[in-house]
Amino acid sequence: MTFQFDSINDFFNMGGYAFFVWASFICTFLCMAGVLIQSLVVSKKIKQGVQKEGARAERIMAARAQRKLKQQAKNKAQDPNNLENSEVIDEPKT
Amino acid sequence: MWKWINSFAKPEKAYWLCDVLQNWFAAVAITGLIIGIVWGLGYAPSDYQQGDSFRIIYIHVPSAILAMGAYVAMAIAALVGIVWQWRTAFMFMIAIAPVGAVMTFISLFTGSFWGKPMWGTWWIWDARLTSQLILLFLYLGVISLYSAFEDKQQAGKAAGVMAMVGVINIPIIHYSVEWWNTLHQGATITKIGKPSIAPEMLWPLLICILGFAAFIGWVTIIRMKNEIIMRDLHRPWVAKRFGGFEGSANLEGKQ
Amino acid sequence: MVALKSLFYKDVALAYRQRAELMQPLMFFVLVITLFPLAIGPSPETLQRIGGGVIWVAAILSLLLGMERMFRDDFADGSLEQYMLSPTPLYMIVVVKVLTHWLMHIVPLFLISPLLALFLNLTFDMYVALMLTLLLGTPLISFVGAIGVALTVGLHRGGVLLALLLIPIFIPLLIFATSAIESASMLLPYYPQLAIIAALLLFSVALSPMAIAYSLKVSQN
Repeated sequence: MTFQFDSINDFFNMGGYAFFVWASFICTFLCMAGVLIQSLVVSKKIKQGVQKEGARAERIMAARAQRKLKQQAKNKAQDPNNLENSEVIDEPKT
Repeated sequence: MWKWINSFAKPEKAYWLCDVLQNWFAAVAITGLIIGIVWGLGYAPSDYQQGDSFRIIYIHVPSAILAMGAYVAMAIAALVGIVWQWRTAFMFMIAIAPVGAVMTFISLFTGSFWGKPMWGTWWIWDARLTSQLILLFLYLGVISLYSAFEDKQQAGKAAGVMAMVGVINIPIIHYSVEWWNTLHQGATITKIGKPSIAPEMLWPLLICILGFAAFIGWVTIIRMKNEIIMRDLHRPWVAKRFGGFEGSANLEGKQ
Repeated sequence: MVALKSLFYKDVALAYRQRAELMQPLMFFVLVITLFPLAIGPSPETLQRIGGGVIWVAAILSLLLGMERMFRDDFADGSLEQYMLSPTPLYMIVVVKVLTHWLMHIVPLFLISPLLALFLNLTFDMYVALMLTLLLGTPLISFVGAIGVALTVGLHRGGVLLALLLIPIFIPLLIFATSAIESASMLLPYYPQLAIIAALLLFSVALSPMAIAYSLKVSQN
C-alpha cells in the first residue's frame, strides 16, 4: 500500500477537488462529533441532577428526623410522667 | 428458550447491558473510523474517471446505507415495543432516531458535495438523493411526533406506529422515486451507475461502514442510557447507582 | 351492522349541518390552484405541462387541511371512547368513518375538478386521467391519512405536524398519479400507473383500519 500523493500539499489539494472533499469530511466530522458530544453533555447533566435530587432527599429526611426529635423532646418536657405513651419515631419507609 | 430476553424489558437490566456494550462499541468505532478514513483518504488508489473527489465515497456510502439501516432498526424496536409492550424498546427507538437523522443529513451533504464536481450542480433529483431526502423527513416526523406528547408512554406508541408506517413505505418510496427518475432523465446521464469497485478501494469502504455502524451504536447506547435515567429518575435503583442515596422515592407524605 | 349504518347517517347529517366547514378545504383548493397561473404566468403551454402536478399537490394539501375533522369532534365530546366500548369492532367503525369523510369532503373536490382543469388548460384526455387518479388516490389519502389523524387527534396543535408526518407517505401516490396524467397528455396508455395506485389503495384498505384503531386507542389513552 503506497501513499497516493507525492507530497502533503498534494494531499491537501486532493487533485483539484480540495474544497469539495475537505468540506465533506469536515462537515461529517463536525456532525458526528456534535451528536456525540451533545449526548455526553446531557449524560453528565442527568447524573448531576440525580446527585442533586439525592442530596436534597437526604437533607429533607434529615430535617424531618430533626423535627421529630424536637417534638419528642418537647413532649417529654411537657409530660415528665410519660402520660402519652407513644414513642414512635417516624422512620422513612424503605 | 428465549425467556431470558424478556428481562431486558426492565430499564435497569437494559441499562446494565448498555454499560457493558458501550466501551466495545466506542473502541470499534474509533479504530474503524480512523483506519478506514486514513486508508481511504491517503492510501486508496484514485479513480481514473473522477480523480480524488471519489474519496467522498468513504463517508457518503456508509452514511447512506446506515441511515436506512438505522431506520429499519428503529422500526424493529417500535414493533417490539408495540407488540411486547417493552418500554426499553421505545427508549431505544427514540435514542436512535436523531443519530439516524444526522447520518441522513451527512449523506445528503456529502452527496451534494460529490455531485458538484461530478454533475456540475449542487443538487440533483436523482433516485438516491431524493430517497435520502424523504428518509430525512420520515425521521423528523417520528422525532416531532414523539416530542409532541407529554406522556412518554403514549409518545413511544404513537411514534412507533409512525416508524412502522414509514418502514413499510420506504421500499415503495424508493422504487417509485427510481421509476420517476428514469422517466424524467432526458437531460442528464448519470456517470455514477453501479461501477464494479476494485478491491483496494473496497476494503477501506467496508472498514468505514463498520466504523460508522459502531459509531451509531455507541451514540445510541449513550442516548439510550440518558433516556432510561430520565424516565426512571425517581426509582431507587437510579439513586443507588449514582451516589448511594436512599432515593427521592423515599420522600413521601408531608415535608 | 345497524350500528354502522346509524353511524354513517349520523356522520353525514353532522357534516351536512356544518356545510360552511365543508367549503373551507374546497375553497383552499381552488385558491391555491388560482395562485399558480398568477405566479408563473398565463402561458397555456406551461400551465398544461404543470397542470396535473399542481392539481394533485393542491389536492393533497387541502385534504390534509380538512382531515383533522375526522376524529376531532368525536374525541372532544367523548363519543370516541364510546365507540371503543361498543360491541362493534373499532376497526369497522373506523372504516365507516373514513368512508363517510371521503364521501362528504372529497367528492366535492371531484365535482369542482372540471373547473380547475379549465383553469390550467388540461386536455380532455388529461382530464379523464386526472379524474381516474383522483378517484383511486383520494380514498388512499383518506385511509392512510386517518392513521396520522388518529395519532395526532389528542394534540393541541396537531395540524402542521399531521402534514409533516403524512406528506412523505403520499409521495409515491403523487409520483404515479402525475405520471399517469403526463402519459395521458402524450396520448399514451396509463393503465400501469392506475394499477399501481389501485394496488396501494387495496393494500391500505386492508391494513390501515387496524392501524387507525390502534392509534385511536393510543391517543385516547
